[in-house]
Amino acid sequence: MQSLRKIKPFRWGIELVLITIFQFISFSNVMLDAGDFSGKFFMIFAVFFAVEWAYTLLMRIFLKQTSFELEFIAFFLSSIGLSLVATLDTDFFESGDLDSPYYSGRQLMFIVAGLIGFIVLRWVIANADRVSKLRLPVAALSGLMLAANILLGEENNGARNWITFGGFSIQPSELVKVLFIFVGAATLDKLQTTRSIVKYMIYSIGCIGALFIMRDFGSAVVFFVTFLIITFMRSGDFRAIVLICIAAAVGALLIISFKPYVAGRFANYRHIWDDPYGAGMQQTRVLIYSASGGLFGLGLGKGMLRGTFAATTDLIFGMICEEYGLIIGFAVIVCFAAIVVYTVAGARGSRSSFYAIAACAASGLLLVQVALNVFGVTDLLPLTGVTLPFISRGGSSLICCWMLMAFIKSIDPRAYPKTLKETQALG
Amino acid sequence: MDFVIEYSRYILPCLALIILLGCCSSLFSKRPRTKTVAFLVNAKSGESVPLHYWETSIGRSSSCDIVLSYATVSRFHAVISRRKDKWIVFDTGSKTGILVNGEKIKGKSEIGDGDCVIFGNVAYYFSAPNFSDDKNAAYVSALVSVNNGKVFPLEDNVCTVGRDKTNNIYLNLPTVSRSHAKLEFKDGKWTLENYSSNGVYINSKVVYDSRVLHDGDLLDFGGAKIRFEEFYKQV
Repeated sequence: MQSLRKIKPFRWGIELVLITIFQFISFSNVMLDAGDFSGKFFMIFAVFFAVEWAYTLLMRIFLKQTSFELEFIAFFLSSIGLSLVATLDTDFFESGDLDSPYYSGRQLMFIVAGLIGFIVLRWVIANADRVSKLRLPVAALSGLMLAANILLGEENNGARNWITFGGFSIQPSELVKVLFIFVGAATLDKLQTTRSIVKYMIYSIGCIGALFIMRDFGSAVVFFVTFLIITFMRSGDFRAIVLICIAAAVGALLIISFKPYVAGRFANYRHIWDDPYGAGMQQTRVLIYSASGGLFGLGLGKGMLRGTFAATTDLIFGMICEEYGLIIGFAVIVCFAAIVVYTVAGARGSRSSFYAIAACAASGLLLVQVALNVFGVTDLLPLTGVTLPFISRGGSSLICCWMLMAFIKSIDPRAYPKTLKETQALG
Repeated sequence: MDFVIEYSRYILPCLALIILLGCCSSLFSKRPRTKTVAFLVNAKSGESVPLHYWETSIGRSSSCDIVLSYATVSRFHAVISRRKDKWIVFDTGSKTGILVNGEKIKGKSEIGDGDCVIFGNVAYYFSAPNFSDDKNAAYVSALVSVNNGKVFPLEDNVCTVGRDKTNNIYLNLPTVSRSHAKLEFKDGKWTLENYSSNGVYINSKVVYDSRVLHDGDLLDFGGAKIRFEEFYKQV
């Protein structure tokens, strides 16, 4: 028997150690900044490391997985978010408002929940037959979630997109993003049997219409772009996309004409310096403090932006630039750009058109969300209150982002359990 | 402790860039090669069509992966799909239907190596390696005849193919040269070296010199169609 052909695998061990060092330094800075309260964070960070290492080693040992690049990017981004949220806890310790790491504890809990969602969704979509059977129930579930949101939703910062029960607040529209992609993507035999996209268009209009009723315009834009990506990948018809865009533009103009309060939400756009202590306060603070951080940042917990409303949610990109520095701010954006380029390049070689469509839609969705957040806080686009994926504080968003990563991961043939001969070939 | 925070301001961006570089370079450079996973061999002409993906659309439309320009074939006729260890052919609403080994299918049907699949009135033999996995099995590189399923294990590092009986693999066809080609295992790879003036067809492309072989490649020695399996399970 011959020795088998080797393909040099991903150096996952070295990467994992490097990421752990990065996280260790970040978390150490948070603990040093916390002074007398540093001990309160120990368990949070220890659990984070344990989860990260346990996931990697278990996947390597039991599933023989050799590719961890996407998970490492997600862990890297999540740890940046966790560090910044932990510094928020420090502020509350010092002011005496909190005596336990409330925000970082919840952030960690949602990272773990997101990772579990990622693993479960990977298992669900691994079987193309199962995916085909689940599409209709998933469409019904997403409709129910949005209907419940309209009926039971509470208004928060102008949008009625929160449901609270048992002390927990969730944003169903965030979780529906995952279901929306699940319903839109399809295996090649389904695409070829039912070539019409009318049903999916009706479903999408229902979802986006529900978001408009909730006044969650940021999510509506994200859903619309995702819908365009899925429609194009399903039909390959450019004319249909142009017609949809024209129809959407006309619809948006009609909404602004008949519902002037919608335009009022964006009145501040490009006029932030007219009222830097009022309506333009958030964006002007982001611009000033981001610049003050310089290339290397001021250090964790040393920033000034943290005092501004929604600093760890909508404005967190400003906090990254101020406390971590512009280089890491740039690295964060490159992470998302790399995911999109990888998805577009790798989609053709995926095992099913379901994976190709879902991965492109998921990476497109993440990129649009990043663009709306980063350009929104820097006043290049209207501020819509969209979160920065993986980093912003917030449970629904974090879980959704991890689950979207499962779609992107599905295009990688190395991510599936290997047969013996494939394992021998890969080394 | 302020000096720790001060130094870490410079260390963190450097580490972030190294991590990003490592992940991105791996994402873009270490993707497995797209390889042929199965073949459709035209029953009439013997022409082989490689399937590179787990899902392949077949029909008259130019947007299909395999275009069959016949009046009896619908625009979107069928999809051949691999699901785990099985291959399935789906009838995607064709007018003339699909026959597998002479029987008309309803919706979908499982197919295996050597099955005859007829789209409209165009017949193909389906050829695919066996995916079944057995931890106790030993694997050896082998050549498998597409026509009769006969297996030639490549047990030595050199194997010659030709019409002459002195060759390791003897093909008794007038279109095969006396000494047609040589397969050699070197540096962890199997390489085919052509000796024939007619060349050897690898995945329907003629080769006159030498080429590295990959698992699933379809070799054509003067009409004798043989599939190269790098990891053939020995019984």
